[in-house]
Amino acid sequence: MSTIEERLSRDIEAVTGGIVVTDSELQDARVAVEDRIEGGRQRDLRRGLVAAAAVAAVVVGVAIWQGFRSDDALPSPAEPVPTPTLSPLEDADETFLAGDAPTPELLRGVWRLDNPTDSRMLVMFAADGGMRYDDTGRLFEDPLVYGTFDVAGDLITVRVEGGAAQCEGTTLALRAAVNEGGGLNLVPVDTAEACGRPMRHQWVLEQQLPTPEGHALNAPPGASWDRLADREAVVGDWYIGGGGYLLELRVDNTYSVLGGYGDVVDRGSWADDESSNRLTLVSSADSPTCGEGDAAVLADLRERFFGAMVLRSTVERDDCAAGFAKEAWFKLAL
Amino acid sequence: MREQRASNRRDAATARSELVDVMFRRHYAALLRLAVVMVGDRGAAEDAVQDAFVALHRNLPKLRDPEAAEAYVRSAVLNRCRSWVRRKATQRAKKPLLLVQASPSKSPEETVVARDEVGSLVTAMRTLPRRQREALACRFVLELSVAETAELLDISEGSVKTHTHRGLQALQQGIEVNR
Repeated sequence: MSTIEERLSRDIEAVTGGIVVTDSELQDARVAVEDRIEGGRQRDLRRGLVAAAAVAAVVVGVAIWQGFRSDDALPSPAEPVPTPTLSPLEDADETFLAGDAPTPELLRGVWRLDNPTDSRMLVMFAADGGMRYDDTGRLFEDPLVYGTFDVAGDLITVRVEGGAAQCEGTTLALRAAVNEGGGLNLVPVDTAEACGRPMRHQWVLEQQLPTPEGHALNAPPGASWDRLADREAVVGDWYIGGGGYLLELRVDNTYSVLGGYGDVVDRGSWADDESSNRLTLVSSADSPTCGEGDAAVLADLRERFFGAMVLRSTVERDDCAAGFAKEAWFKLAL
Repeated sequence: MREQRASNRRDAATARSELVDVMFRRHYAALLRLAVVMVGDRGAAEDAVQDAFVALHRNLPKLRDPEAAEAYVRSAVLNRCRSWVRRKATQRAKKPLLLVQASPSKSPEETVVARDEVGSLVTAMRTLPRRQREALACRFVLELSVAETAELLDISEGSVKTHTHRGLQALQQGIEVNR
């Protein structure tokens, strides 16, 4: 009788042993990689040309303006002000971007990718013009990217100032529209990659904070739930059932709860006790809403995957009673 | 001076391409096997590995140590496999039940992979929680040590042992339930 390790090794060998890579397949694969690298270079080149064209348009515009001034003549009111030009949108993008133009007020809050493929990204736009982007479950404490944003017409321009991705100085332009459902449709301008992350051609973002009316998630009734097995999976960003709050549990056992438009309403430390299957959050002295030592204890932790990990528990203790100790959490990132 | 800088840039680009080429020839097949075990679909596995090498080419100048390239590309493959699994799960979750149950037509290559996997622990392994799945893949497909696995997955050696143990235990329980 073989051990489970031996059987697993044997089964892996049975699956992978049949995978033969011939010289010609290797060559084809290498060419495919080279093509994709070359495709990226072409995009970079196109982006460079667009930027150069935009700069040239400004330079020409300024030269014309100075020419008028030197002749002591003013342009007529109908004279167009020189502005950087953008590549025309493809038809599909034009349709995708049908909707209201974004404004800083409409953008304010926390958004998540509604059509996730490569990442579970979260974006936060703040009232002071700050923005954060993250797909590692650390949006609030140590995001992948942070910086500032401006809105002009349907164009959102993001300037990266720091973050774990270490891509300070990067500028990113996104065409945007608020769709009928209140979501945000985005099309990155001439870029397939930024800060080490691939950029999808079209993004749909769904607002998480403030939670739009009628968009609150709740745990599906009647589903079967398993005891939480992967205890490390509690680390990350969570949407709290019922809406209104997001929670970030970090690997250093600190946490933040955000409400409103992304304001911190509680912070402190968390602990997981696997033997009793309980998770405890204890507010720290600098918690804006709760008292130092206030505890929220979630017991009987259970999990289920509904497209995203969902955690369900029984709220055993809620000293602060601020409204965010809820029985269901939905994983947003990491 | 300008010509010198251009020449230096060309040299650096050539060196980068050569390193990616060496890495590709040395590791492509092993990484493809890893990706097939993780996603169970050869086409998706090829995409994941090729995409990882494109990312390696792009990020090579940022790597502090050329020796880190191997770990980078392994990690990139695992990330892409993870994304693929998530994407599939999301697609499944969004489909009506009948569509999920209807099996799509498979290519001959996929059929061979699928046939090899009937009743296999590899299929069961893919249903494990992420950390367990990845720890088992590192240990049993890449044949990494506990320390190497810990470094690649960026977790402690204790966690590697725990996830490996739990993963194996879950597979064992699965066998017993199906007996």
